[in-house]
Amino acid sequence: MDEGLRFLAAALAVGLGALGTAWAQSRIGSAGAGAVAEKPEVTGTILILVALPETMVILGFVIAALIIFM
Amino acid sequence: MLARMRRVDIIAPRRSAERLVRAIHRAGVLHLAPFAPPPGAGPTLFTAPGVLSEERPPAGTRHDGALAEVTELAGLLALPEAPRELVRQLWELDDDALLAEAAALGPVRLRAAELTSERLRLRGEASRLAGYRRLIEALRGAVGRLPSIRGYGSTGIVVNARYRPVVTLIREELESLTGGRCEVIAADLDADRVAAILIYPLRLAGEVRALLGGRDLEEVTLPESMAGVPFDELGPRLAAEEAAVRERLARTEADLAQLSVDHGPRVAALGLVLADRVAEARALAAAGRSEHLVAVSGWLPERRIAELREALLREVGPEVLILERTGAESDRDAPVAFDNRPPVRAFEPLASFVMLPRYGTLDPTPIVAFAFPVFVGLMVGDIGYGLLLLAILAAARRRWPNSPAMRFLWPVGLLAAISTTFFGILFGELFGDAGHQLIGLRPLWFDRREGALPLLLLAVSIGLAQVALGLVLGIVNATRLRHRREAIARGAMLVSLAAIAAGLAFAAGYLPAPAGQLALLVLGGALLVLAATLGLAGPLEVMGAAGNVLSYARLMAIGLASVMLALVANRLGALFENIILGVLVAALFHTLNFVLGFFDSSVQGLRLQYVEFFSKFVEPGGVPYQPFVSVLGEGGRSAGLELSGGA
Repeated sequence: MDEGLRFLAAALAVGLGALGTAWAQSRIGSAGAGAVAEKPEVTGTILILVALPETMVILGFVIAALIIFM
Repeated sequence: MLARMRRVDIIAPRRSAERLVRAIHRAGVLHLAPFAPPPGAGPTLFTAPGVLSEERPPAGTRHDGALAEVTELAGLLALPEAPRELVRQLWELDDDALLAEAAALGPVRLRAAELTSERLRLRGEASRLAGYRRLIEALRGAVGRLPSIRGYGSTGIVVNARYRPVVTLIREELESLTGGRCEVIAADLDADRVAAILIYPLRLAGEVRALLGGRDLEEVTLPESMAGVPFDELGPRLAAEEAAVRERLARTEADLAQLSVDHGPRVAALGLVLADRVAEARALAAAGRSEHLVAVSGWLPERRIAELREALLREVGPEVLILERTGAESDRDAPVAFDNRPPVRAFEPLASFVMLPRYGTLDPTPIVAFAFPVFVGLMVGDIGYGLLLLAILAAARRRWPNSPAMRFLWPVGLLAAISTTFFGILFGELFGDAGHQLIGLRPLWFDRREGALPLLLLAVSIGLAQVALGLVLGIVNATRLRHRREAIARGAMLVSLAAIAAGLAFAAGYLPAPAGQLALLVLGGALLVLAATLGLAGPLEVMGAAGNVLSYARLMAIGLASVMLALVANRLGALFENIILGVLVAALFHTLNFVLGFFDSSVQGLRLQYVEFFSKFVEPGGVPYQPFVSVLGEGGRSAGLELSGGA
C-alpha cells in the first residue's frame, strides 16, 4: 500500500508539473509563432522562451526522483 | 574578454574634411559618435553637429540622386556580385568622376525600364491567352459540336466551384436579354473552378458585359483579333497567338539578361561605392566644425589607435590630430566589442544572443564556451552520436568551406561532438547499449540507466557551482560599476546558498549538528542583509536562486530520456527477424533520437546559461561596436584579431 502511494505521489508530482508546463508552453508557443511570423529574427529568443516553463516539470521530476529513490 | 575601448576626437583642417572621412572610412575601425565637447569642458571652438541619422542623409549630398538612379537600375537588372577589383577602382575615383560614371548609365536605365515594361505587358498577354486557351480546351467537347455562327460573339467566365448555380442564373438572364438566341456551355476547369462560355449576338456585347459586371467573376475576354472566329478554330488560333507572344517574351527576357551581363557588374559596384559616399557625407554632418577645423568623434579599441593614426598620417597628412579622451565619464557610452581568440570567439554570438553585456563588465563568452559543450555532452553522452555529429560537421565543412554559418557551427559543433563522445566513454554508451551488446563496452564512470540518483546529484551540484560562480562574477561586476548595494546583495545571496547547501548536508547526515546550527544562523543573517539591501523581495530571491540550482536537474532528466530512447531504438530493431530490416528500424529511431537529443540539449544548455547563470551577473544594455567600414573593408579584413560587436 505504502509502495503504491509512493508511486502515485511521484506520478502526481511529474504529471501535474507536466500539465502546468504544457499549458504555459501552449500559450507561449502560440504567441511566439505570431511573433516569429512578423519578425523571423526573434526565432531563437522564442525558442528559449518556450523552454522556460519546463522548470516546473523538472522540479516535479526532482521531487518524484526524491520520492522514489530516497 | 571585452576589448578596451577609447573615445577619440580626430581634428583636421576643414579643407581636408572629406579626405579625413574617407581615410577613416577606409581604415574601418572607428565607431562613429556625434561630436560633443568633453563633459565639464568650457566654451569650445566647435559648433554642435546635426543629429547622426541612419534614415535621413543630410540635405545637399551630391551622391543621393546618383545613388537613387543606380538603385533603380539595380532593381531592374539581375545583378551579379560586384567584382572586388572594379569596386576598388571606382572607390578611388574622385566625386566628379564617380558621378560621371553614374550618369553614363542613364541610357542603360532607360533601355532596362523599356524592356521591363515590355516584359510585364507580354507576361500579362501570355497569361490572358493561356487562360482563354485552357477554357476553350475545357469546353472543347461541347464547343466542337457547335456550328460556326457568324455574327455571334463569345465571352468566357470562370467561377469558383462553390458558386456553380451562378452559371444557371446567368443563362436565364442571358436568355431573357437575347430572346433565347444564346448558348451557355459550362464544364469543370479543375477541382475548384468551373468554366463557362457564353455565346450571344455580337450586337448585344455591351449589354452582356453590363450583365456580367459587378458579379465578382473572373472574365476571360477574347482578343479583339479573334472576335467572330468560329469556335472550332479558336483553340489552334489561340495556341498560335500564345506561342508568338511567348517567343516575343523570351526575346525580351534575353535582351534584359544581356543587359544584366553587360552592365550588371558595374551597376552593382557603383551602387556599393555610391552608398559609401553617402555614408561619408552623413558622417561629416555629425562632425563638429569651427571656422577652420573639423572634429570627427568616435570609439575604437585601444590597441587599434596606432593603426588609425598611421592610416590618417599616410592619407591625410601630419596636420591630423587624434585626441584621446580618458576617464570613467567617457567610458559610460562606450560600445562593446568582443576580443576573444578561437575557439572561444565562435561562442560570441551565443553569449550576446539575448543581451549584450555593458562596457566595463565581465565577458561571459569564455564560460559559455566551456559550459555549453559540456552540458550538451552530459545530456547526449553517447560515443556513436558524438562521432556521427563529428562526421556530419566534417562533411558540411568540406561542402561549404567558406560559409559564414560554418565558421560558427564548426567550432561549436566540434566541441559539442568531442564532449558527447567523451561522456559517452564515461557512461559506456555507443548507440545506447548497442556498444555493450556488440563489443562488450562498459562504463568508465557509471551507467546512467542504473545511476539516476548519482546523476541527479551531479546535475544539481553543477547547478550549484555555476550559480555560485555567477554570483561571484556578479559581485565583481557590481564592484566595477560601483553598485555597492548590488554587490552586498549578491554576496548575501551566495552566503544563503552555501548555508542552504550546508543545512541539506546536515539533514542528510553528512555534517555534525554544530555545523547545521551554524548554517541556520548564517542563513538568518544573510536573509537580514538581503532584506536590508533589496527590501522584502530580497529573502524571496533566495528561493529563486535555489530554484535556479534545481533547474539544472534537466541535465540529468534529458540525459536519461536520451539514453532510454536509444534503448527503445535497439529493442525495436531487435524485434525483427530480418537483420537488414531490424538495422533499418533501429537506424531510423536512432536518427530521430540524434536530432531530438542535440536540438533539445542545445536549447536547454543555452537556457541554463541565459536564465540561470547570466541573470546572476551579466549587466545588460551594451551597445554593439559597429565600426564605420567601407565596402573595401567588409569581408576583407583578415590580419590580426577580428573584433565584433556581438550577435
